[in-house]
Amino acid sequence: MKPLLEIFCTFFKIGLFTFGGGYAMVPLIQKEVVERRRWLPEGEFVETFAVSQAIPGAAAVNSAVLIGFRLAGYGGALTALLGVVLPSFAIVTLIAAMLGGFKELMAVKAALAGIKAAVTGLIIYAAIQIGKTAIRDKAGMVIAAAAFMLLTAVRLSVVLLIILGAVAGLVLAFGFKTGMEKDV
Amino acid sequence: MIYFQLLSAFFKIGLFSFGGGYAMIPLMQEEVLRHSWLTVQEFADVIAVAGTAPGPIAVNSAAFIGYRMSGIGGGITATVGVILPSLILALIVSRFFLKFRRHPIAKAAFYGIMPVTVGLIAGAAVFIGENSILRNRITVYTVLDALRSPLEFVHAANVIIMTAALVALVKFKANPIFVITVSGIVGIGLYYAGIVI
Repeated sequence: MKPLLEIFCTFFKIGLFTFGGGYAMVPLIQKEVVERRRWLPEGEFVETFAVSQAIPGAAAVNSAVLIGFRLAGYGGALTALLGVVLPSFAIVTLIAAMLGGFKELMAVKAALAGIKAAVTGLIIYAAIQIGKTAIRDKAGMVIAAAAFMLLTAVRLSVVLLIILGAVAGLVLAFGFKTGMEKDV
Repeated sequence: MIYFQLLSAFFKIGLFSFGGGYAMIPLMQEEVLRHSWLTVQEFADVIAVAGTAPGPIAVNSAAFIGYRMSGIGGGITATVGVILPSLILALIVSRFFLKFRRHPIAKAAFYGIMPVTVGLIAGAAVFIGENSILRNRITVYTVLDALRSPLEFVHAANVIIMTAALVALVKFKANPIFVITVSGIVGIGLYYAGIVI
């Protein structure tokens, strides 16, 4: 059992520094939860991320609940959820109260342009890091490349891609007996 | 009454949006217009603000719209509504997931799903980069222009920031929070130095 206060602070930090949607959160969670605190092994983190994509709702919220539950049961899930939601809730309420004056602030816009460029690098880094764990053989490489192409060129839905991945995994494992020797 | 409407509308939005925050925008627009909470223009402004503030876009837009409708109480109600489906479903999945993740069928499925997540994340980098690194989206119509004059097609400053971020992360194992903070400062610096982003 991990102390709830630590879980809260970690997810508060993650919520505060996630710009540009759920995927931008992947490298942050990885750094804080996997590398620094060693709460989860990399493989379990990738599994959790895949599950968070397969259920409806924001990926950040789903990941927080899944990881929080894994760390400290129901209390952990609620604590992580509260931590990840609170910074954005407070900031947006502040902006709404200031009645849109925020949008015209050029310095804020400039900072966000810089952050957006860095976030692109952050997400590429997340793909590399997760790829080291998630891709175990040539079949994995082909599946990853196919998913990337189907997403960017054909704009297939994320849920459909995850279902297709599961089908491919079942066919490969039970039809061709590959990839099941090693444990994640 | 407004609280109940906010709760049920945002619960529905949270329940039916698969594939992350941006996927829920069309459904949210439908609900917001149906209740006449905002005009189309106001809704577009909300999405712009929700996309720039940190955190999940779903939570941001719920908090914003709820606040506009009836203050802090409305903001809390709409936010709770949008995260409640995730909370319930993720808890149910968690219980089964921990029990069955070592089952051969689950392991086989994840053997195929895990590489898909790599493709999804690489795809997310492309979608975000399209609006930051490139000046124009690469399509069948613009690909020739892009090849002819690649330097005019990309934002040089943003390419440098992205590359620097990547090098800092890969080579120097920099903390992502540090990278985000520095890139924000660089963005402001470039603006005041007169380099238009």
